[in-house]
Amino acid sequence: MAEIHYLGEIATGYGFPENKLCVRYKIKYGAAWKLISGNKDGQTQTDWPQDEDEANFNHFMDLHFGARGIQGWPQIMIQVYLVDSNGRRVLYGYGSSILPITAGYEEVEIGTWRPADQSIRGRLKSYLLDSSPELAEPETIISSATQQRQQLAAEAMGYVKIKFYTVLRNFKKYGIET
Amino acid sequence: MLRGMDLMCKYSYEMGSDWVVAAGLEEGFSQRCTSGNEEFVFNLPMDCTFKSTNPSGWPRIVIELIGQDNFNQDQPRGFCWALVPPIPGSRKIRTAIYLPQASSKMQALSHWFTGNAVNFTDPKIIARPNGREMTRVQSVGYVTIQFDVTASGLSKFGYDFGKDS
Repeated sequence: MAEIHYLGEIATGYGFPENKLCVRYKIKYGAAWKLISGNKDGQTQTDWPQDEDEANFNHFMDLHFGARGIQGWPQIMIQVYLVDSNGRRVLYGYGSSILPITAGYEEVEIGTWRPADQSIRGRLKSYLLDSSPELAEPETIISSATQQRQQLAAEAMGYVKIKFYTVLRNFKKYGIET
Repeated sequence: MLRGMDLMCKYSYEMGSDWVVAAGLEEGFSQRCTSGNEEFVFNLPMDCTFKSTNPSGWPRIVIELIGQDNFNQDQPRGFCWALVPPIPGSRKIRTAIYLPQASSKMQALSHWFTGNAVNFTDPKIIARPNGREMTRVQSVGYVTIQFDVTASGLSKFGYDFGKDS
């Protein structure tokens, strides 16, 4: 069985309207994959940076996968939240990315988006409260190109940077080139 | 944010249960450094050898910056962790340091009163994947760490760690 270790860090978030952020993540993978050890989901700390625009999460992810096939390669889905001084949590973005396929160091920058209500009422609400509609079932929509995306209006939000060190095992033995 | 302070750096390693320290120092303290501008120089050497049966739980270096307040008590001034690079070679890493914030108004008030900065009960929890959901922090600066890593036995067990880019 081929194995992959991801030694990753959810590092920073930047480019959002406000920088008081936290990130929730979830790892999704197909039936040919097994998560041998590591957390499938988690939430980072909340950072309120003072001097810089970047919010720092410094969150460790230690994933060990066993793979019997290439289909269903693991993906990470993230939801970014604004945590403001009133304790409110506002959805600030959805995003997803495939975990790296080559051994070595890689910085994955995930661009995030959130649903946008284009009506007058929706735009006023967004302007006054900085809030947006949330998806009832985010996972399918975030991680794949489904029909439902066609009907969605969205606005672009900021970026989350995740640093990965990828360690492959026995990939050459099974003849998989990455 | 750290301007004008005296800082001392303490490092330690957090690793998974499959890892042991084979040789070298597991912890170290630096000298106390003052700075006229925003750059502090520690120049603190680290030397450690680890052994494991599994890449999971790869060692992370946990950095604590400690300063003194007006009463000469040690106060935390920043925390961060960085992964010891799994790729053999030389690597310079710059990572952000942050201070935990009080989780309630009462706690903030009592800390302000006593002059104690908010602290983690165990600094190594920042390097673990769990348990940080409710933590609120404030970024205060950056730390640069230079790693030179050598490894043995990696390809023998079928592992490919990739090249240094």
